[in-house]
Amino acid sequence: MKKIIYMLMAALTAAACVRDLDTLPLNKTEPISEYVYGTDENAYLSGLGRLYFQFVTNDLTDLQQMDGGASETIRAFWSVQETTTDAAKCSWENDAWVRALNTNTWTEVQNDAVYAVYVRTLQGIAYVNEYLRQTEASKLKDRGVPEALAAKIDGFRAEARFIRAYLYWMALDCFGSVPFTTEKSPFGGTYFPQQASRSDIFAYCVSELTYLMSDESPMPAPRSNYPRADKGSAAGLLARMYLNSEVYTGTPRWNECKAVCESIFAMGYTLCPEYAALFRGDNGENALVRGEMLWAVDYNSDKTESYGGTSYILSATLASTDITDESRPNGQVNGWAGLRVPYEYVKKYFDVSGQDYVTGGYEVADKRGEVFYIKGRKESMDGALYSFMNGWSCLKFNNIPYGKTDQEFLPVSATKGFSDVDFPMIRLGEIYLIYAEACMNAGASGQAMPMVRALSARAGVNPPSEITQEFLVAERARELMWEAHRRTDLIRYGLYNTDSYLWPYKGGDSFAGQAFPDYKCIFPIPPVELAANDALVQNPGYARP
Amino acid sequence: MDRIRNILMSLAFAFAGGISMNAQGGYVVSGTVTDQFGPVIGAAVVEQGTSNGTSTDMDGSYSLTVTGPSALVEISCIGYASQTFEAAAVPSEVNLKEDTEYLDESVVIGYGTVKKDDMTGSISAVKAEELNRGAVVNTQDMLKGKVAGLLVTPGDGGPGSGSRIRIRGSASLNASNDPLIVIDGVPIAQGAGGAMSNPLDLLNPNDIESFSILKDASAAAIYGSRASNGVILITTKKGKGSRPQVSYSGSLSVQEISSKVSVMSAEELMDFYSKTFPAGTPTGDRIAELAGDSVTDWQDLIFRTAFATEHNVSLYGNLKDRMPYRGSAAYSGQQGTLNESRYDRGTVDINLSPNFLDRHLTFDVSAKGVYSYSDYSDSGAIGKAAFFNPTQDPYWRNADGSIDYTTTNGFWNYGNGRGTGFSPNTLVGPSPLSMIYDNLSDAKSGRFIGRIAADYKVHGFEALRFNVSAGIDITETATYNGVRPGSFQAYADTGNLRVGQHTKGSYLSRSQLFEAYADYTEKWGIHNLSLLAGYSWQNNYWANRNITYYNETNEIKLDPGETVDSRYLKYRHENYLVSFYGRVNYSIDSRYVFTFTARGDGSSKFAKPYRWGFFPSGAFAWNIAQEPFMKGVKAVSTLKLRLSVGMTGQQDGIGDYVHLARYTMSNDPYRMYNMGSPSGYIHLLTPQAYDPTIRWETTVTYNVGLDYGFFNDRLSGSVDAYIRDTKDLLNSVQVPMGSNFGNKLMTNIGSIRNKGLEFSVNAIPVQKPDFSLQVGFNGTFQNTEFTKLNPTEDRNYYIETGGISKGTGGYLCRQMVGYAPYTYYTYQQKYDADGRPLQNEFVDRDGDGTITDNDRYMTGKSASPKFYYGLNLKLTYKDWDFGINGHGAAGTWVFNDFASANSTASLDLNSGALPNQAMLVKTTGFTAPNSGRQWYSDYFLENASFFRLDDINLGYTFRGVGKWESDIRLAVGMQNVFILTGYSGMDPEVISENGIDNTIWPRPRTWSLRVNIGF
Repeated sequence: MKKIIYMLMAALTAAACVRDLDTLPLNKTEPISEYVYGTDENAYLSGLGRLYFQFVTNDLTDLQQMDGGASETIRAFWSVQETTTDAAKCSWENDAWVRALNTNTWTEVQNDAVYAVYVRTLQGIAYVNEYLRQTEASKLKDRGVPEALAAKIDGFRAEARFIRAYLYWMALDCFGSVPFTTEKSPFGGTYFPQQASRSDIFAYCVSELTYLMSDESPMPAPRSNYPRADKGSAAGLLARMYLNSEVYTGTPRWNECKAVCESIFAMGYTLCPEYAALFRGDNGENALVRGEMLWAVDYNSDKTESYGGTSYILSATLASTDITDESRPNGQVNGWAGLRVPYEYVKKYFDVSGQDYVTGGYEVADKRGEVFYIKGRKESMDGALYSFMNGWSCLKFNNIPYGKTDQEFLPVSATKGFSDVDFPMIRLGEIYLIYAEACMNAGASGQAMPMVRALSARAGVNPPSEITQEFLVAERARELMWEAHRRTDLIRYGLYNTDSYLWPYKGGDSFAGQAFPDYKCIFPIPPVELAANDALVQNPGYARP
Repeated sequence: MDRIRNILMSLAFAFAGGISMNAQGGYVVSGTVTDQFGPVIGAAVVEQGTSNGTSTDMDGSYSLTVTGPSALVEISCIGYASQTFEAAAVPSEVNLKEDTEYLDESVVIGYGTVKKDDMTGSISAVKAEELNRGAVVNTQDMLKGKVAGLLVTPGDGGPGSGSRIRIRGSASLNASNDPLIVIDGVPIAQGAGGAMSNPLDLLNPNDIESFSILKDASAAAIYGSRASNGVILITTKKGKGSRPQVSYSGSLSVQEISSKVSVMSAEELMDFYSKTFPAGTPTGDRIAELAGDSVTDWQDLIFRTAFATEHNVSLYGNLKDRMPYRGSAAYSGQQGTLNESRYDRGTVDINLSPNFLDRHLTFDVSAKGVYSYSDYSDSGAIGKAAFFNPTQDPYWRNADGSIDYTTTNGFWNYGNGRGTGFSPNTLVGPSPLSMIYDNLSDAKSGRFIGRIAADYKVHGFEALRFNVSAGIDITETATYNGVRPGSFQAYADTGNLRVGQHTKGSYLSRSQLFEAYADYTEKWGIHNLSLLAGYSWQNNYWANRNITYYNETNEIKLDPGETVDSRYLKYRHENYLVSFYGRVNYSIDSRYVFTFTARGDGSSKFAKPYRWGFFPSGAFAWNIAQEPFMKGVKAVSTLKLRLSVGMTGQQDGIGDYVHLARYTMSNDPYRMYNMGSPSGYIHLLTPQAYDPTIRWETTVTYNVGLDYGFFNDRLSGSVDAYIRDTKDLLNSVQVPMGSNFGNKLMTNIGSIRNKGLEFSVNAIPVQKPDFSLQVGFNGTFQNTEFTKLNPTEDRNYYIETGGISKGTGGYLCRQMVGYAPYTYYTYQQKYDADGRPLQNEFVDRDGDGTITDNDRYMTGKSASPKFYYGLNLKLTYKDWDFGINGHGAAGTWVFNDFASANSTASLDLNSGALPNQAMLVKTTGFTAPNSGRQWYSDYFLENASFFRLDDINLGYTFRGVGKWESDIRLAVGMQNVFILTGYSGMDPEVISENGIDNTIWPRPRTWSLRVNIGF
C-alpha cells in the first residue's frame, strides 16, 4: 500500500515538475521578445529606430570588427564607392585595406571596409527580418495590440521593408550574389543561408519597392516622414535600381526607370534653391533642403555620436592643423587628415583656375565647385598618394549651418565632436539625372531637358545643348560628388576598370593609372564568411582561400 | 582505509600496554596468534574496555596480565576478523580468519554505496584519515596530489583563495571545467559568489568522512548532464560509537611569502640608470629630476608575516542505539600575506540519523552553516610595488619629519600640490600603500546547506527500500567596494571629488532539491542483483543588486536618465533540472559484475527540442583473483579488470535564458536615432545574437582499468586508460551573416579528445607494531587535442584566445584542430652568437624576407601537462608519526607574461613617474622599446615542469592523559616547503587555464603547530 502511495506521489510530482522547465526570465524588465513589445507603441518604434540606426551605428556588440567607427555602414560603403575611383583618395598608409582600395589592388584577402559593408548590410537585413517576424499580424493579435496601433505598426513594417531593400541594394551592388534571407527564412546557429543571384535579388527589391510606393501600401505618404522613409524614398530607390538594371541583370529597363521618375515628379518634391545648403549642419532642419530629400540619414553631434557617415567625411578631409581656435572650417573640432580629391578630378569636372595654396583662394564658375579647401595644400598626388597635404580637401559636407560663417559658428563648433549633417541617401537632384539618363536611353532626351536645365541653373552654369553620356558622366561627377555614387556610375558607363578612362593610381601604384580586370567590378565574399558557410560560392576571379 | 585506523589502534594499545601493566597479582594470559600461513606478527591483544594491551612478537606469541579470569580479551589485526574471549578461555593458539568485513568494504557512489568488489567504475575513494595531517584549512588542499587523474592547482597567495580542480583534464572551452560536487547527496551550486571562493570552501575539513571521485562514465553517468567533468562525492561524518565522545583540534600557523618579484634596489637602480642613461642625455637628466633620495623596498611595505588560527570541536555518539548524532563547530581565521587581507570562517555542522520501526525507517538530517568574511586587499598593489620608484619616501612628511596626513591620507603619491590643493597624477595612479590602505573591499557570506532524508525498508520485503529526500543550499553575500575619503583615489574621482564613492552589493543564491528513489537488492545463491530507479527535481535561483553611494553623504549615485527606483531592480534568474535515473547492478559470484546506468535530464536552459538528454553507461568487471584458478596464487590478493563506456553531459557555464530571443534597450544618451516628428530622438531596441538550438556538451568516455593487490594488499593500486570524446563544445565562433544577428555567436562547435593513462601504487613496505611505513604514488599521462573546430571542415580554422599584459587586443594562443587547447602561437626569437636574445628580431619562418604576422607559429606547447603526479609517505614509529606530501607535473609550458611585459629597460617618463626595473633587463639586455611583436616571442615561453613538496609534518601522541585518558596529538608541519623547477618566474603552477603567467601574489610558505585531543 505504502509502495503504491509513494509511486503515485513520485509520478505526480514528476509530471508537474517537467512543466517547470518552461522558464522565462524572472525580471519582466528583461528585454526578451516575450516581454519587450507588448502593446507599447514606443517599443515598436524603438525596434524600427534600430533599423534606421543600422546605417549610423558604431556598435560592435555582435560583430567582430576592426573598429566600430570605421565599420559604420555609410562610412564603409562610402569608402568602397569613392576611394576606389577618381573622386577620392585616403592617406592612411598604415591601413592595408585603405591602400588596396586607393589603388584597386584588393584581393580575396579580407579588406576591412569591404567586410564592413558585407556584415553591416546583412546584419541589418537580419534585424529587419526579425522585426517583421515580431510584428506579424498574428503576433500583434496575440499580444492584444489595439487596431489603431496595429495600423501604425503596419506603416512601421513597410518602412522596415524599405530599409531591407536599401541594404540589399548596397549588398548586391558591391557583392553581386549575397546570402538571401527574408522574414520567412529559418534562423539560428545551424542555419546556412544560401546565395541568391544578383538578378533574383534585384527582382525581389523591385517587387518590394513597387509595392511599397504603390497606393495599397501602408508606407507613409511622400514628404511626410523626414528623416524616415516614405513612398518617395521607395520610388527613388526603385529608380536607381532600374537605372542600373543592365549591370545587375543584363537587361536595361529604361522605360520603367523613366516612369518611376515621372511618378516621383508628381509627389511634389522641389529642388533646394541653394546647392550648398543641402550638405550643412542644419540641413535636416532646413525646410528647403527637406523639399529635395527623398530620404536622408540623420546625424546629430550629441545624440548619434557616430564616427562614420558625415562625421567621417568632414573630419577626415581636414588635418588637425587646419583646425585652430581662430578657425574651424568644417564646423567641429576634429581633423583626421585622410580624404581628399585628386586635382585631376577637380580640374576635369569643375575647370578651376587661379588657385593660390597660400591663401586658399581659387576661381570656379560652377557653384558646386565652391567647396574645396586648399590652404597649405599641394596640387599633385604624384609620388605622394599618402601625403595628406597633396590633393584638394572637400568641404561639401560641412557642419557649419548654411548661411553662417566659420567665425560666426566658432563658439559652437568648439563644442562639436561629431557632425550634425544628415547624409542624403536619395535626393531630387539625383532623380533628375536618373531621369535624364533614362530619357536619353529611351530616345526621349527632350523630356529631360527641363530637369537638366534646372540643375545647371542652380549651379550657375550654362545648360548643355543636348544630353549625352559624356555630359552625364561629368554632371554626375559635379552634382553627386562624394555622395557615394561614383563607383556604381563608372561601372555603368564602362569606365571603372577599363583603360578608356584613367585617373591617378587607378589599378596600381602608377600615378598615370592603368586598367584592371573586369571581375573587380564586384568585391569578393569575405574569407571568414566563406570559412563559416560552406554553401557560399566565391565571386568569379577571386580565390576561395 | 580501516586498516590504517586498526594499525594505529593496535599500535596505541601495544604501547599503552606498557604503561598500564601494573595490575599486581593480575591474571596472566599468554599464547600465540596464527593465520593459515603461520604466526601473525603485531596482532593486538587488549583487555576490552581498558587501554591495557600488548602485541604479538616475531613468533606470534604474547603475554598479557589482565584484571581477572573473567576479563574480556580481544585479539585483532588489520585484515583479520577480531576475536574476543574471556581471559580464562583464551586458547593457547588463536587462529585469525581473514576479515570479510574488510573485503565487503563499501564505497560511496551516486545514490548509494557499492561493495568494493562489485565496483565496476573508475572511482577513487579517499577516506579522510588518509589525508594530510598538516595544517589543512581548506577542503580542496586535502585532495592535492592524492588521486590519479585529479589535478588540484592551488589558488594564489590570497587567504581563502580557491583552487582549480580538474578530473582527467579540461574538455571544455567556454562552459565550466569544474567537477560536479555533491555533499551528502546535495549537488551544490556553483558560483555562489562573494566570500566563498569555491564550493568546497563551505566544508570544515575535519567534518569530512570520505571523498569518492567518480572519473569514468560508468560511475558518473548517473549524474547525467552535469557529470562530464567528473563528480566529487563528499560524505561528512556521522554519529557512531555509543558513549558521547568529544574531540578538539586546533592549530596555529605562520605564513610568509615564498618569493618576491626580482627588481632592483634603489642603489642598483640608480647605478643601472646612470650607466644606461648617462647624465647629460635628455633621459638621464629627466631621471635625475624624478629620483628621490630615499631607499624604499615597496614590496617589504606591503607584505607581512601572517598568522592563522583554527579551532574545531566535535561531539558525537549514539543515543540509545537509536539516534547516532554528530555536531561540530569550527572557526578559522587567516591573515593574508598582503597587508589588510584577511579571511575568517565559522562553520557549524549537525548530523542526526534516528531510526524507527525496528530499523526499517531511518531518517538522515543534516545541517551545515557557514559564515565567512573576506577582507580583500588590492592585489594590484603587488605589481605596482615591484615597479614603484624605490628612491621615494613612502609618506608625505611635515617639515619636522612626521607624516603629513592632510595629503592623500599620508601616503606619498605622484601629483602636484599638497593638502586639498593636491592634484593627482592619474596616468600613474595610486601608490602601492594607497592601493592597500585606501581601497576598502570586503565580502560577508552566510551559507546554509540542509537535507532531510527518509529511508524505508519495506516490512516483510526488506530487499526493497524507498528513499525520499529534500535539500536546500542558500548563500547570501554582502559586498562592499569603495575608497577612503581623502585618498588619492578619491582625489581622482571627478564624480565625487576628494570624497569618493562606494558600492554595496548583495547576492542571493538558492538551490532546492527533491529526490526520490527505490532500491531493490536481492541475492539468490551466487547471483546478486541490485536495481535502482529514481527521480530528481532541482531549482537554482540567483538574485543580485549593486548600489553605488557617494561617500560621506551616502547619496545614491545615478547615471543620467536613471531613477532611484531603477537601482533597486534586482537581477534575478533561475533554472530547473528534472531527471529520471536508474541503475542495474548484477554480479555473479562476485566474479563477474555488470552495471548499467541511465539518466534522462531535462534542463530549462535549453529550448524544448534540445532540452532532454539521455545519458547511458555500461560497465563490466571481472574479479580475476576470485577465480578458482587463482586461489592457489597466494601472492595475488586483488586482481580486477574493469571495462566501461558511457555518456555524460556538461551544462554549467551556460546562461539560464540563452536560447531565448533577447534584446538590448540602449540607454546611452548618445546612441539614439531621430524618428522625426513627434517622437524625436529615441532609444533603440537591438536584437542580440543568440542560438535557439544551443545544447549541452556531451562526452563519451571509454575506460579500461585494472585494480591489483599483492601480498594481502600490502602492494596495491590501479591502472586506468581512458579516452574522452567531447562533442558540441561551446565556443564563440564566426557564424554566417544572415543566419543570426551578428557574425559571432556562442554556440556548439567542434569536438575535443582527451586521452590518458593514470595509475596509482600504494605500498606498505614495513608493517611492524612499532614501525610502519606507507608510500603512495599516483601519476597521469594525458593528451588533449581538438578533433573538430567549426561547422566547415577547414583544418586551418582557428580561434584566437589568451590576452597578455602588453599589446592591446592581441592574442597569444590559438585553438586549432590537432593541437591542445590554448596552444601558444608565438614568434620565434632570434639570438646572437652568445645565445642572448636579439630585441625585436625574429626568425623569418615563411621566408618572405620580412617579418609579418605570418611568421608566427603554432609551438605545439601548452599549459596542460603531459604528466602529473602525486606522492605521499607516511611513517609511524612508536608514538611518532611523520608524513610528507608532494605533487608535480612535467611537459607543461608557461608563458612568462610578467617577463614579456618587463623585459626592456626602455623608459617612458612622460607620465612623470620613475619606474623601477626588473633584474631581468640585465639578462635580456633590451634597452629599446619593445616592438608589438616582441611581446609575443617564444623567448618567454618556458618549460614549467616542477615538483612541489606541499607538506611535511611530524606528530607525537600522548596516550591516556588525565582523568579521561585522552589521547593528545601534537604536530608541527610546514606547507609549500619547496619547489623544484627550471621555470624562471615566481611559480610554475599558473592559475589561468591558458598558462599565461601574470598573477603574482606568491603562494605563502606556512609553518603550523597543531593539537588534536580526543576525550
